[in-house]
Amino acid sequence: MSAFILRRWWLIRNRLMSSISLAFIVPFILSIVTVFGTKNIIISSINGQPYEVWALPGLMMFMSAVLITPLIYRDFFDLRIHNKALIPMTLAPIRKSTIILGILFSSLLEVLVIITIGLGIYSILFPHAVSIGHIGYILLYSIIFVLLYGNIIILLSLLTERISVFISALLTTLISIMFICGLFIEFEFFPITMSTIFQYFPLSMVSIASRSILFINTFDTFNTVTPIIFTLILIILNSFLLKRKMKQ
Amino acid sequence: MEASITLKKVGKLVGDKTILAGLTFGIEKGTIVALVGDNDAGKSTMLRLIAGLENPNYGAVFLHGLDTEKRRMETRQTVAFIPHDIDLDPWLTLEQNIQFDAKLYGEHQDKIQSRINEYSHALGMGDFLYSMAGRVPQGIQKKAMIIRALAHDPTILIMDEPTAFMDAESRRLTWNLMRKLRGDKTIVYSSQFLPEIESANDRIMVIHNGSVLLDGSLDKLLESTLEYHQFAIEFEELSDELYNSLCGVSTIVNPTKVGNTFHFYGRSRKVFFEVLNACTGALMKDLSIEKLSLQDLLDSAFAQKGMDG
Repeated sequence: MSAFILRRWWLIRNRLMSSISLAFIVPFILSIVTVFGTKNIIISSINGQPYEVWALPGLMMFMSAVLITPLIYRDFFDLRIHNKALIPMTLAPIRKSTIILGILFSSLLEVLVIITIGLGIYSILFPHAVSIGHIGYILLYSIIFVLLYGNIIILLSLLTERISVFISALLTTLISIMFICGLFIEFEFFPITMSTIFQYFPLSMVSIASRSILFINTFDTFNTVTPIIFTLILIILNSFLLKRKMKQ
Repeated sequence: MEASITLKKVGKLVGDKTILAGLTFGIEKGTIVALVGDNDAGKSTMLRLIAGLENPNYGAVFLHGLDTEKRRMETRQTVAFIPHDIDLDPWLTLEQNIQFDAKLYGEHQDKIQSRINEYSHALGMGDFLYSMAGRVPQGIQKKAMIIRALAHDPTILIMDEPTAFMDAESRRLTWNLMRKLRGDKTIVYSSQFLPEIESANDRIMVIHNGSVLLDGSLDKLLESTLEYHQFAIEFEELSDELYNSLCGVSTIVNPTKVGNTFHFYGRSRKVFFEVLNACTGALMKDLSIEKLSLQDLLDSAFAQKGMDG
């Protein structure tokens, strides 16, 4: 695992200026384009939370998804299909699950640093929206969200062989997540049948559980544990797929 | 002598096509073995199977007596593979690429560093080591791939066209290093550069259509060709009738027709005169006689029929 973390650090260091720029620009732009306009349409949540307060965990989860996507794409698609740098990794005497976890956790660390900066930027843009007591929970659920989402993107990366197919699948996934996982729009805005279905998506469960602990002070065991179980299943599936794709 | 690599009835299929057909052989510890053959002969597949990059459809590959499929972790610790194509991470420096890979094998930093220093000096890497992989010439990247493979101190080194993209000086340094490692490491490689193979091998295996056609030391392989000569007679016009008549000479081997030139192999110059007798009246423009070389061993048609064919 330390090798993967060191590698991630080298990758950041080798493109230091763009990494620093990215760490400030992405949170700033995403905060503006998602919350600034929407809060004038949806003033408050159904439970009475100001929209910018309600949307914060969703924004952080979406931000982490946007940030981890290129990192996963690079390691599991580009380095597998284009310049084959994933192959020597798979030849090392380590399990395929270690490779999946190593890349995932090292990417998560980079994402965590940027979303922490994002929280800082958000607190400047919306001074009353960020509560110190909420930060730990927001980061915790963002981690659960991004580990599950990261595995979905790994699955996509391993299942596709052509960049055009991958990009189409990725955009569809990302846009769907944005609208149907309760990140920016409450489930109640959708027709009842759709809303019921959407709430059972593992990624939606993370946003439901995070808002439960943040706004009604209740730990939602089912909606917290289920996405974690899905993540573990996906790690096993992705490890198997990686082995198959590498013909090993 | 102890076998480092053993293949037992190893076969590889891709769809319905047989890439390797029931190969059985052993490679002695500390030797340099060259695989030669046409494109698509199965050399790369064989190297990938030995390296553990692919699994055989049937049969088993053993490294130091351990089955590569059943004892995957132990065998992978002992082997390193250098593919033909560049597979470095372009956004890491060459040194970072090497360090990362060696760390995956659980090597200590000081050992990694000392090996990087030793091998980069031997290969004349200079300051390139600290350049981003994507920004240096491919020949330099290939040298970094060799250092990367050696950084975890494998006992078996598998190389597919190890000096591809390299200039003459880099090739010389690479083979100097390989000769230095001989005895300590078992080296199996494929190459299309015949002078390279002639200068660096303990054993040559000629692969054709997924089978080992010829196997032995360079001297042993050429021994069987020493009495042979390759003849070429260019006619003003080589008609089918004349060609068939020449093919009827019982002492010639593997006759072929290229334009108006009749090529054949023969054990002595006497054969040449027999052919000359058979073509009385036909107008000849040119003729040549050459001793056989390693290149002729690679002539798959010739090799397939065999010297005594």
